[in-house]
Amino acid sequence: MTSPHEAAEHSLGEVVGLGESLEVQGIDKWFSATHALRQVSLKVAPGTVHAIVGENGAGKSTLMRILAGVTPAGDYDGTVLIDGRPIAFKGIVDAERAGVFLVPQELTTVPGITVAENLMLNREPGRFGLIDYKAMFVTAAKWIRTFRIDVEPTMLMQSLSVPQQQLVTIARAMTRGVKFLILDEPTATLAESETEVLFSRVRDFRRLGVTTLYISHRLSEIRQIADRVTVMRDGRVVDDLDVRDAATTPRRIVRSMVGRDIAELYPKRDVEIGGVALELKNFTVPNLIAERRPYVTDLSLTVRSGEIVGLFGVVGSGTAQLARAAFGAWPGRVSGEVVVKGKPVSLSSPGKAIAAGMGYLTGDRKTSGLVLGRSIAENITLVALKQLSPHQVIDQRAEVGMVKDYVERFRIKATSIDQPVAELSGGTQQKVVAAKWMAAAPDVLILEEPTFGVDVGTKVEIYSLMGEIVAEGRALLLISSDLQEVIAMSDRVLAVHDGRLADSWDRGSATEEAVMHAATGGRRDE
Amino acid sequence: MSEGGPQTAQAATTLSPVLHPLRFWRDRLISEQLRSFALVGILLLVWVVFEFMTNGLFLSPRNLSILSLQVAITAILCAGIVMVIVPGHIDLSIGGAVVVCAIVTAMAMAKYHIAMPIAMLLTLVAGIALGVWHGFWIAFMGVPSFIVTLASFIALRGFALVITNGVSISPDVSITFLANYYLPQWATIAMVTLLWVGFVVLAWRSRVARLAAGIEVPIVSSVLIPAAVFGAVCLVGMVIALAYLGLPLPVAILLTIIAVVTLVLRNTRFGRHLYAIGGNAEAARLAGISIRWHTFWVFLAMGLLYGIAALIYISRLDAAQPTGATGEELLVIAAAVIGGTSLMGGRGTVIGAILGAVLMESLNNGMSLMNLPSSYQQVAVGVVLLLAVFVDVRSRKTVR
Repeated sequence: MTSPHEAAEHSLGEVVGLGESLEVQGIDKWFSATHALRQVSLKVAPGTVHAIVGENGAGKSTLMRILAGVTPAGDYDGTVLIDGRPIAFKGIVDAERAGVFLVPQELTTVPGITVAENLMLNREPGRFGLIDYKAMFVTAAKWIRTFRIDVEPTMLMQSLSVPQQQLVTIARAMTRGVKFLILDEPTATLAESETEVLFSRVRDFRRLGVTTLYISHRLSEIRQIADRVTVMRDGRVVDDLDVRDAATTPRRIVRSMVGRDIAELYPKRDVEIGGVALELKNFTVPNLIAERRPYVTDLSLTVRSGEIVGLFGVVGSGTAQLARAAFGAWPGRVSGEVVVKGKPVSLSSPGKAIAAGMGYLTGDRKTSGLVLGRSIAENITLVALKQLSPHQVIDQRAEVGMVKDYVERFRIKATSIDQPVAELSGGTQQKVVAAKWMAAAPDVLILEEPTFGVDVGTKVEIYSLMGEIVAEGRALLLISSDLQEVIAMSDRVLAVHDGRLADSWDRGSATEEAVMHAATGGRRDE
Repeated sequence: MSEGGPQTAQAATTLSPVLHPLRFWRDRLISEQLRSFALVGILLLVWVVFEFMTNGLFLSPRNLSILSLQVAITAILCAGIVMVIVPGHIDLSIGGAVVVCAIVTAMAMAKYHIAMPIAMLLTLVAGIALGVWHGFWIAFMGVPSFIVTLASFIALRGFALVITNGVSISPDVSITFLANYYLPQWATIAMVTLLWVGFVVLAWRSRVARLAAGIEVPIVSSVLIPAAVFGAVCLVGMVIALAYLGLPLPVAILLTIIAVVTLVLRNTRFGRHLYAIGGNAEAARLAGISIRWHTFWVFLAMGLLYGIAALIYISRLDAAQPTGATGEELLVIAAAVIGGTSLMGGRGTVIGAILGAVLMESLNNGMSLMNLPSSYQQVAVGVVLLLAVFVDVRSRKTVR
C-alpha cells in the first residue's frame, strides 16, 4: 500500500480469513425418493483451489448448497467440519458469518440499481440513518479497481454485460470476509480475458490462504486453476486426485465422470455434402441504438446439405443477432436475403422461417427454448404440432408416438413423458430442445451454443446427434463460443469479428490460435 | 447405473418404484387431476358442514338447484377467464361488459321493440364486439390487457349509466324463460350421461395412444379412478336435478361451455399454443406461434361469453341494471385462482376454475341460509382465496 497507484485499491488481505480446513463426512441427502448424495466424504486442504467435477445431476450443487447453508443442517445426514469442529448452519447467514460464500451460477444481481449499490447491498455505509452515497461510491470504486472490472460504480447494473455482472457478483462475495469461496461454474458466461482476470484473483486469494471450491465442466480450466480435483457421479465421490502430478489427468477425469472411457470426445461423422441449403446474402443487422456500429455488416455465407458450418465469434461479435435476424425473430430492421433450398424466405416472423424449412435452437434454453412448466411431450411437439393436428384437433396417437420416438433416440432421461421440463437436469433439457427442432424436420437448423452448460457425457451425445442430423441430408449452422467444439465438429469454420466475416477454413486446416486470432481482429499475415 | 445406452432409454419409459405414499399418488395422478380431486373433497366437506349448520336445508334438492343457478353466470365467465389467463392475460372488465350486453338486450326489446330472438342475437354480437375491441388493443396495438380491460372496467360502467340514464330497464316481453326452464327428465339423463361417456372416452383414447407407443399406463389411475370420481359427481348431480325439476337450462348451457372450452384447451393446437404462450412467450414466438392472433381470438371468445352470461343474467332478473354485477370480474378471477390457474400464465384448467366458483358460491349460499349477513360471506371468500393460493404455493415448492 505504498505506491500511489495501489493506494486507490483495497488490499485483498483486508477481507480474508486465514488457513482453515473444510471437511465433510458421510453426507447423505434425499429428495423424497431420490438419493442425491450417498455417503459423500471430502477433505479440502486450507489455502487450495479444489475443483469438483461431475455430470449434471451428480450431486455437486446439492453438496455445495449444504456447505453454504442453503440446505440447513437437519435436512441432511452427516457432518460438516470447519477446522475440525463440526458446524451446523441454519441458513445462508450462518454460513456467511463463518466465511463460507457461494457464488451461484445464475446472476443474482438487482438490474435496476447501480453497480455500487449492488456491491454494497445490505451493508450500505450510512449517516444519520440515510445512505452515504459518497462513501458508497468511493468504496465501490476502490473494489472495482481491485477486481479490474471495466465499469463505473454509478452505472446501472442492467447496462453491464453478463460477464461484467458476474464479476460484480463474485466481487461482492469476495469483499465480505471470505474464508471459503464456492464458485459454481463461474466462467460459463465469461470470455477468455475475463476468465483470466477471475483466475488471477482466485490465485491471489489462494496466496492469502482462502480456500476455493471450484465447480466447472471445463477440464482445461481445472488444469489451469485447481490443485486438487474431486470427481462425483450419481451422488458419490468416485475419484479424488492431485491435478499437478499426473499427465493423464484429463482422460482420467472424463472417464471417472461418465463411468466409461470416451475415446472420442467429438464424434464427427463423414457425410456426403450436397447442394446449397441455406444462403445468407449481404446480411446487415443495424444496431437498435442509433449511431452505433451495426451488429452485423454485409455478411454472406452458405451452408450445404449434409454440411456443418461453424460460426465462431467472441462476445459481441454479432453472431447471436445474425441468427435471430435470419430466423425472422429480430425486433428491428434487417437488410439482406435468406434463401433456403433456392427459395427466398420472408424475414417477417419465425413462423415463416419455419414454414420455409428453417429451425433455430437458441443459446438460452430457459428464456427462449423451453416452456419450463409444461411437459416433455408438449415441448417436443411444440413446433411440429401442425403436422399432428391437421384440423386443429391433436392426434394423440401420432403425438405420443413422435415423443416416444425422440425420447428414445435422444436418450432423454425422465420419469415419464408428462414430467415438466423444469424438473430435468440442464443436459436433459438441452436434449428436449434439440428434439423439438428435430421433430419439426427442418432442412436447415441453426444451433446456437448447443452444448452450453452441459456435461461431458451429454455433449458427446449431442455431437452424435448432430452427425445424425446431417446424415439425413440436413444442413447445420453451428454458432458457438466453444472453439474446440467448432473446430472439431465443423466442415467449414468461419470467424466473425465485429459483425463481419473475418476468415474461413476448410475442415482440418483451422487451428485454435488462427481462428481466435481472426475472431479478435487479427489478420492472417500478422 | 454406470452403463449408458440401452438402459437409460428404458428408464425413460418405466416408472421407478417408489415407497413414499404421497409420492406414490403424485406419480400416478396428473397434478391437475390431484388438485381437482382435492377441491372436490374440500367442497364436499364444506357442504356437509353447511348441511349440519342449516339443519338439512343446504343439501335439499331445491337449494342445490338454486345454488347451481347462482353459480352458472360466474362459472360460464370462469371458462372464459381461464382461456384469458392461461396465455398470460387478464380481464378486469367482466362485470361492466356483462351489464352493457344485458342493457343491449333490454333496450333492443323495450325501446326499439325488436323481436326477442334477434335481441338475443344482438346481445351476443355486442359481447363479441367488446371482445374484438379488447383483442384489437391488446393483440395489435400492444397495450397490456390489464390496462385495456381496466379502461373498459371504468368506461363501461359509465357508458351503462349514460345509455340507461341510471335506471334499470326491463324488456317488453318477459325473457325469464331462460332461467326458469328445466330440461325434462330424459334430456337431463341424456346430457349428464353424454358428458360422462365423453370424459371416459377421452381418458381411454389418451391411454390407448400411449399404449400404442409402448408406454405402460396403469389403467387404474389413468381411466378407472378419474372415471369413477367424475361419474360419482355426475350421478349425484343428476339425482339432485331429477329430484327437483330437472337440469336448469343455464346449467345445461354451462356444462356445454365447460365441455367445449376444456376440449379446446386440452385437445386442440390452439389450446396447446395458449399454454405455451403463457409458459414462455419468447419460446412460443420462436416456435412460430403467432401470439397476436391467439390473443385476439381468446378475447373474442371471452366476448361471446359476456353475451351468453348477459342473457342468463337478464333472464334471472327480467331487467338490466346499470349498476348490476359489480365486482363480478374479481369473483371470476378468484374462482379461477382457487381452481389452480396461475396468474403468471401457462397453467390452469376450466374444471378447476368451475370448482372454485362452486366453492365460493356454496359459501355464499350456505351462509345466507344461516342468516349471516353478506359481509361475512365476503370475509369467508377472501380467506378461502388466500388459503387456496397458500396451499398451492406450498405444494409446488415441495415437488422439486
